[in-house]
Amino acid sequence: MRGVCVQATLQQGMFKLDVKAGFTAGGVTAILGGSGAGKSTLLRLIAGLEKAKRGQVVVNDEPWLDTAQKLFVPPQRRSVGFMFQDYALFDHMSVAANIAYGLKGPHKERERAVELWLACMQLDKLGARSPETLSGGQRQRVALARALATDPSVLLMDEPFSAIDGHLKSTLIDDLRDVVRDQQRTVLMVTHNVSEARAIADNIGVMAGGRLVRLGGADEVFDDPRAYEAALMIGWQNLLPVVWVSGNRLGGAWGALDLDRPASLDAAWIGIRPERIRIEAEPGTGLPSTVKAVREFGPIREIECVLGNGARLIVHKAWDAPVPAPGTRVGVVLPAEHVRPLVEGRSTLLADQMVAPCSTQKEALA
Amino acid sequence: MNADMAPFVLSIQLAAMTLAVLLVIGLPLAWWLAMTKSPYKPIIEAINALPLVLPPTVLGFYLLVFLGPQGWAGQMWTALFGQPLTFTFTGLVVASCIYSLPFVVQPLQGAFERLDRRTVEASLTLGASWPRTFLRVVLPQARHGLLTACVLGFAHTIGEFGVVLMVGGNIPGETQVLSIAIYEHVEALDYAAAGSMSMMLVVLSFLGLLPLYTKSRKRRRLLREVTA
Repeated sequence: MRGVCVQATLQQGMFKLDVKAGFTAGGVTAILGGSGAGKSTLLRLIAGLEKAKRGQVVVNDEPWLDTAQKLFVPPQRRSVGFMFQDYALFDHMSVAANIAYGLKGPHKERERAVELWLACMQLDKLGARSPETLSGGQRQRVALARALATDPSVLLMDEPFSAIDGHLKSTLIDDLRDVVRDQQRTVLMVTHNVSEARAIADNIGVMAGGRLVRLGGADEVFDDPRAYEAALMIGWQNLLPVVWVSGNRLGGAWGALDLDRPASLDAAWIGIRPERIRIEAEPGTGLPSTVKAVREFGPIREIECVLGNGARLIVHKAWDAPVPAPGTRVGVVLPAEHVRPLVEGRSTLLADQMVAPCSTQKEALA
Repeated sequence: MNADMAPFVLSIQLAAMTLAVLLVIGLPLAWWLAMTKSPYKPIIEAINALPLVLPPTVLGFYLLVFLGPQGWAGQMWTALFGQPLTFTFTGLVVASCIYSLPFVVQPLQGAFERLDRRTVEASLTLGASWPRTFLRVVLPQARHGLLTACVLGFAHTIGEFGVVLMVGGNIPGETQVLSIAIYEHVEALDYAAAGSMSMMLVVLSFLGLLPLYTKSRKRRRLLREVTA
């Protein structure tokens, strides 16, 4: 398989990383997750900076790690570009020397390559400067040029925008997206920021408790997170615990509802996006609830409803739509086609089936 | 050669040889101490620091016993090279290496511990080998520690007395280094010769230490830690 295939477990004290996933070639995959989810460890495992207890890492059909065969390719022999969170620039060298560091070949060729990268990253005239004297955005571009100059099979980026101020960030995200798209790079980017991931990624992966609980196209993941942890990570607020499942019907202390398909017995939660919920003035329709608060957020209005058992639902309506006053009793309708059953990603084996399998793994290693 | 210059030249030779050997041993040892999570680290660190606190005569006594013709190290050396270690220049170098080890290892270890490890990892992911990473990324960042280690290792060897006297004795041209020659002149009540040699040692040590205390704050901090 072209791209990055990881099937590995790694133990670091109390923390265990257990990931099985295939990341397709030629696109940006953002790995989302809270702190301690194992995002950075996954990147470091792919780069060879951490050693797995058991497993395999295969990149573009080339095995980099296979513990069964005692194969471990050291980081210096892996074709990988790694952009560190704080960039890890060599401050004792010039910007040009930083970019040239990983380049091989005759001096003239290296010099020309550095000039091209300086121009490409809008760093002309800064080649002789020390990286210490550059701004955050410029340092980031030096780090990106240095990582890409060796033409790596995969570019790994650990929180590349965490040191950048808000107003600069969107420009830099656009620049980065253009560079990696133009060159059709395979990129894995770790972030805890959902809007960054949304802005740059073709695919989204979500990690929780050392496991990859969801991986898929960005739109697909935002529409159907499938795992409870993934829903939390991408900011879903409307999550109701499921206690029982019977055919198409599922329910909990908050009430019950019918889906348009048989519900999985593993469904532990249901989730729904706030703009998908309908509010009926008649409390007999849908789930009976009380409007607790109405808040204005620019073009949208947020209505907070409280169900009979005290569970909270957030509903979004356009600013000019009619909204009920706080204290009103209403019926909240969760349309079946928009309700998403969610499994507990970190505890169920189902999660492994929800990420792309490494189908040609065995052939690649044979 | 002027009789007064022989101890001076011998001291410089001894310090230079000792420093060269100590850098070869000290760089990997300091790197290991800075990076390891081994439970044996405190033990190795404590052994390394022993010469800082032991009286030179105690250290010299043990070295004399181990390196002497009856000691296992001395016997092994004699079997290998056909000559004894004690009361020879080579014996002095071995003893000085042990005596000055912490003065070289500690500043290097401190510098390696302060190193931004991500830069080492960045170098590796950029395809650089370990030796290249060490030369181009580690050493330039640890240059203040390296300079401190060189100056302290050299100056400390020049200034040692007790260990040298115990292991090397006082053989002119072979083991009579500057500090011992001064002692001998004082015993012979030749204060003029002792005075000029002492002045040589003061000037030499001062010139060696001066660059450490100029400009660099980093070096000064390393120095304070070592001499504390």
